[in-house]
Amino acid sequence: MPRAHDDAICIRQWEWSETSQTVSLFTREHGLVRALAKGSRRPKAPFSGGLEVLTFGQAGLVIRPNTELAILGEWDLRETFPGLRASLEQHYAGLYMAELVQHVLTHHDPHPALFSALLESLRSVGEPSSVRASLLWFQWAALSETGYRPDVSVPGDQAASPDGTLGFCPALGVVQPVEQARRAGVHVWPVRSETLGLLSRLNGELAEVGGLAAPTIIDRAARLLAAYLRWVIGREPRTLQLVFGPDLPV
Amino acid sequence: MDSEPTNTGTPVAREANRAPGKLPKGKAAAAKVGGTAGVSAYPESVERLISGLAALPGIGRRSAERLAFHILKSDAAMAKALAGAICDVKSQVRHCSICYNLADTDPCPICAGAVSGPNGAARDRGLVMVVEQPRDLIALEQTGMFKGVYHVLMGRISPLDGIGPGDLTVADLFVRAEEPARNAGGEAVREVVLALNPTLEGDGTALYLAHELQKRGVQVTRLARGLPAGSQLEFASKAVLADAIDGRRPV
Ligand SMILES: [Zn+2]
Repeated sequence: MPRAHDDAICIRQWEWSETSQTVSLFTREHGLVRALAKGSRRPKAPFSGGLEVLTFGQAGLVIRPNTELAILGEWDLRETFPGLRASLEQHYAGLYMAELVQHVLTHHDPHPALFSALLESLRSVGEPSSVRASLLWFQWAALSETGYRPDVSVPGDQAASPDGTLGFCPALGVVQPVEQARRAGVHVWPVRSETLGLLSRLNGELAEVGGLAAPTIIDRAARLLAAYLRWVIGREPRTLQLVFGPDLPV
Repeated sequence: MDSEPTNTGTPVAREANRAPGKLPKGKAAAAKVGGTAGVSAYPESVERLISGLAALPGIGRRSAERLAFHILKSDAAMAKALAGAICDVKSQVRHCSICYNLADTDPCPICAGAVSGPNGAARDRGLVMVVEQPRDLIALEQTGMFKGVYHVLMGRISPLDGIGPGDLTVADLFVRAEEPARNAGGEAVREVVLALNPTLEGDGTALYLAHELQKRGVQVTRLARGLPAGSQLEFASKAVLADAIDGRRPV
């Protein structure tokens, strides 16, 4: 079988034996691939010193049709994202992004744009001041890439509640005035117009996010998307509370 | 023997760390022996021995047969000594109630101060080195270079596997740090050295412990990382070089 070379980020690894690992790789061109890395933990294996979660490299893969487990024959390490080991906040943010990828994608379904977004976000998380912006931007990318991007526009004929809050309906992925939603029996999470305003301007580069709004608004928007992603996925990511605490809307 | 188990952590952690869909060899072998795959041609006692050996990590059916025949050919004294050692390990070895090291006394000889430090010096029981597994403790102890005592976590925090501090001996470490009476020799913990594996999970565990221990007023240090002394740059792996570059220090 020919060996395909592809950029990849290792998002999970399991110990298969004393010398081998199985890994879940998010690759640029092949999507999520689970692979067996035989002998990867031997000192002289062509794996640049073993595969680690949340490292970026070039993978040499043999992907056989009708076989769930690909063979990883090579791993050329390119980046280790040392910022993910610098603080708990950065560490948990990186793990959460890796876990999200596993939840929102199915195997062998390529999403090159989301791959690029993850790579850029992992680099950005290395800077403590941009952790929340990276989380916001990556979650937005994950929702957009998988077809779940919410409609955050506020229709002109819908007035906000007297206290300025609108409601975000997770079931429909749209914004509604809280009062109107309550009357209609629609479940909504209160959301501020400034949060929606930020989300509506998110379609640019990650580097621009920090300049779009104050850190508290960025944080609020990231939390809203985390709650929405949990709704979309239908289960709580294990790392969710480590990043956002226990108080997300349900 | 081929190897010791590679999956780290408590039984829960080991189960979580195992690759999905893969039976541990012991279970696979046991399933083969006990299932409907075929009737063994071996006498029942030999078959039991083979099955028992094949249940060990890193030992396949064929290796188990080879070992069983070696035992069969050996004299009775050797076989009895082996059986006795296995029984003694199960009946006498336990975890030290202070540091979770494996020992046949409680507290273990290191916590009890019965094993001296480098050059015969008394153990500094205010200096606690935290490791993931008993085998890490043994590796460090064999260097003869650490004069303090230890704390074995019995795994590492692995959020993606659902392993949190509560699945490890983390709470006991904090109690040692807070209450001198609960530490070895009744001494106050002055410094904790984090000696976790330099993996992402090991580093995450170290970050968590450092954060919590500093809140308790304990000085926290961690082992240095990067290029091993005496090694050559041209032979170092990319991962080691990346670590060394990231961890560079002013001279
Ligand atoms: Zn002890």
